[in-house]
Amino acid sequence: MKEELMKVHGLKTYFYTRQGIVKAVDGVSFEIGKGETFGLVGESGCGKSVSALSVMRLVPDPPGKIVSGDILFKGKNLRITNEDEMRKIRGSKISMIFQDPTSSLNPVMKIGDQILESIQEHQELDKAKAKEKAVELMDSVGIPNPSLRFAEYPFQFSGGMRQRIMIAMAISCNPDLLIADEPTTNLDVTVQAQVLDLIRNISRSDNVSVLLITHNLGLIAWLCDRVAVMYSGKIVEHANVEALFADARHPYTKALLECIPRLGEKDTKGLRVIAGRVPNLIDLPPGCRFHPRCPYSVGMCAKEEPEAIEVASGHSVSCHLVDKSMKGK
Amino acid sequence: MHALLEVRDLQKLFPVASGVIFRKVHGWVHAVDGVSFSIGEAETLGLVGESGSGKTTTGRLVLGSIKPTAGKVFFEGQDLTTMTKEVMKKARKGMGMVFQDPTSSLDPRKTAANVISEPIEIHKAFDQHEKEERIVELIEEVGLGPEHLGRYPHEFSGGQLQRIAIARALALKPKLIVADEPTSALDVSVQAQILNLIHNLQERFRLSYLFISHDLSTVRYISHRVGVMYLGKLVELARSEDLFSNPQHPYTAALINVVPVPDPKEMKSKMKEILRGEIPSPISPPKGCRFHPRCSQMKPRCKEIEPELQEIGKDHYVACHLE
Amino acid sequence: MKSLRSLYRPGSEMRTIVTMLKKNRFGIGGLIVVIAFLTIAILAPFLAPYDPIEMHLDKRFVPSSSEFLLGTDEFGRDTLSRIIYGARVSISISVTTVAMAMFVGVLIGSISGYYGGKVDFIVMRFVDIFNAFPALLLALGIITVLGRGIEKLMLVLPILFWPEYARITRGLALYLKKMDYVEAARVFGSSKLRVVLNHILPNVLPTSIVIGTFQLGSAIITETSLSFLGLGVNPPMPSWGNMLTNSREYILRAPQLAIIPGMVITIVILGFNLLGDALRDALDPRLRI
Repeated sequence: MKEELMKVHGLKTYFYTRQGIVKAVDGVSFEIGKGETFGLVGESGCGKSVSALSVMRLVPDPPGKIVSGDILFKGKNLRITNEDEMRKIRGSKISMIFQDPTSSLNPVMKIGDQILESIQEHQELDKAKAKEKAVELMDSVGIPNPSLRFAEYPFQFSGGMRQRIMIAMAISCNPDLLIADEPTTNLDVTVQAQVLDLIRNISRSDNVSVLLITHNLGLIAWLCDRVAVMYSGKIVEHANVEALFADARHPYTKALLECIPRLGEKDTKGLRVIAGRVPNLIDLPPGCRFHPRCPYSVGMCAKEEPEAIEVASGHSVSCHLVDKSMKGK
Repeated sequence: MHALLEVRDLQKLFPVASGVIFRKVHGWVHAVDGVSFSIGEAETLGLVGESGSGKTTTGRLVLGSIKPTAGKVFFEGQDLTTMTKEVMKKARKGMGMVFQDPTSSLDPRKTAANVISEPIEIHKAFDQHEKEERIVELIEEVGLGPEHLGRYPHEFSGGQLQRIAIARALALKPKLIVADEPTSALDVSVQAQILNLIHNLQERFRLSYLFISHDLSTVRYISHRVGVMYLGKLVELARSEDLFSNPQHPYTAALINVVPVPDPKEMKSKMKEILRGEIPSPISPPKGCRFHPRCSQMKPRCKEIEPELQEIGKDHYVACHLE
Repeated sequence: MKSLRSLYRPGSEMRTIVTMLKKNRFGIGGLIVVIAFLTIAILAPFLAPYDPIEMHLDKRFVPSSSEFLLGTDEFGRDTLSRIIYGARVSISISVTTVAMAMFVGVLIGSISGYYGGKVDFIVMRFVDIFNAFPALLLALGIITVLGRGIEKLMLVLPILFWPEYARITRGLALYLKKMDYVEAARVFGSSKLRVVLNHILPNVLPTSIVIGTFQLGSAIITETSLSFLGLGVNPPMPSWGNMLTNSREYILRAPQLAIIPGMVITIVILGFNLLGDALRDALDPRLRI
């Protein structure tokens, strides 16, 4: 594994609501290496977005609170860093892009000015130099005629272009880590490919680590070096990408892989379905959170929460059935 | 023998206008520009494309929600485009619709029972007792139970809402259902459930579907035949297996190329060549073949003349100048 | 098997609304105030200890005493009785005003918003015309022509209040028009009118009712203002507004004559507003736990 850039250990983020405590992230640990692309994958409500927000200390408080855990980044523990320090880190050392670029951009402000804002927030450059840099950035993310389009407004750009602008803003201060939360979910599939290709190139050329959050396993297969699968606030499986797709061990991961319609062969049997529904995060089942829907669950699954067990180098699974060495099915 | 649904040279242009009393039209959006296809009984035609392709507008034209600028829609042999309102209302019984967003396709103030029975009430199709029986029948058909009938939409998950929407679409025993991105707003595991349901209903009731989606994998799975749309035109139409194993149009090939699949090796080899450029504005589509500005195999002819949809193999049509 | 009717008739929704209302303490407070107000108004003849216009000239400006619980005014009339009868005036005016304004405004707004196009354009210009007049001046103008009195007020006030309904329901109708379930109804063969009655109005009604509760308060204030200006209810018939007017002259000598009606007005309006807030929350199916 590459040199470690960030280590998240035992992260717990809870939301305190009138209906009860929502344990959105409940003991999550992972590491991201320098220049590495790490994927956090899961369905809605699994806690992947909240994990990212926790790392950035952007969880709304109230009602949310990072209850415990460590977020080690370049010698600092971000969980206990004060807000002033965090502001210096956000946008310059760690930056984030979101799913909907339209709502992240100010509709009444020129694009160029918005990029300038993010540059000047963290760097001491005079206006002329900053503008030069902004235009350069727009060019590097593939916006045609950047010096002309500098003065245009967000509505004059397409969705894909807006996301590129967000990326430009995110990399303007040469961050070490770029967090991308469902960056292409709202985009057309060809535009998605272009935008992710751009992120991939930036990661390689500037040695930027990427934390990619998505529900799309195909994107993980393409872009990520290592991946963690989340379910109901926990990481159920953690491996490098080849290992996950070739040898998934957790029943949820396996089920997820089997219920995706494939482009290659026509499946005549019908898609494998995961029975039941995602549990209510306020009222979680005892023991393993997946056990009510798991076709292999045994008595212990309903009683004890499984620990993460290493089944191969860099591949760990949180499942009681794993130490009985189940191969294949 | 008629096909269940036949669409001929369908065209829809939306005006781009300003002003309320004195309207001035600046241009036209070529949403759908000469599209033809047919759907047979118990068949699913998938319509796939990106934004601006016109697939959603095509769905609405088929349903009669909007009237075409030109072209014809034949349903069970009858021309929908020239019908009066009363006749149209009767014809509507044969079609159902399922929308993308289950949270906005159900009235939040109506219970599941109200929602499902709405088509029945509009057409006064059954008497009270039969209606109640039918509602129970329908809710069970989609995998829920009578206990769900009295609940409101906010009490259901996305997948359940979509099931209710499907039950509503089935209320009057239609022959054709137009489904516009029915699974796009759902989680992956729930998508699988709904796709299976759609498939089973087809087998049980010999239903046909016009399945509109941007997701090629889903379309591949559920459709017998697939049509690929780009900027208002149908660029390729073929049987599902043929389209995906042997795409003829450069756009189809490019689309298939960028679909993410859960296979790291395949992804790394696929993504070497990614389609460049953006979809042009449908207000002023490119002259000649609409795809030519982005096509890696473009020839001079492509800039001038629009290609027609031609049969190049068994049940395989392409609109392209290259052979 | 139990009949399905119970599952989807409005009855079950009523019960849920009441349950929701019960949970909101401010709303309960508001409801109590409103019910008290209504009871007092309706039962006025049985509750008032004296005839409100009867003068006791030997006992003028009496502050609160055992004989006159809230004291007497400049003509020796019992303040408590005048307050109680004043409630009658307020309620009759406010309820009729709001009922008429709501009926006209909601219907016009919904149709205008849903049908759109030229219909909408013309109707909205009409609403604009009404809105352009400052409410009080318009009322003044009409009353000057028609004369004073409670019946005239009941004609004038709805004219002032219906545009607000029309505007708000139109905005709502415009938003609702885009909802997929509206389109679904049309796809399944529903006529436009049926869509308005079945989908637009029910979704517009909760907001309208909430506006109604606030408007009840506004109507009372408008009547109070008009009476204060001498244009509303004719003396000697008491209204909270003209009680305030009359108290102006004597404010240093007997401030209670101004304070008491003022406080009563404040409490009643507050009650309506709190109830309106609670109703809005209770009627939103999504907030139901």
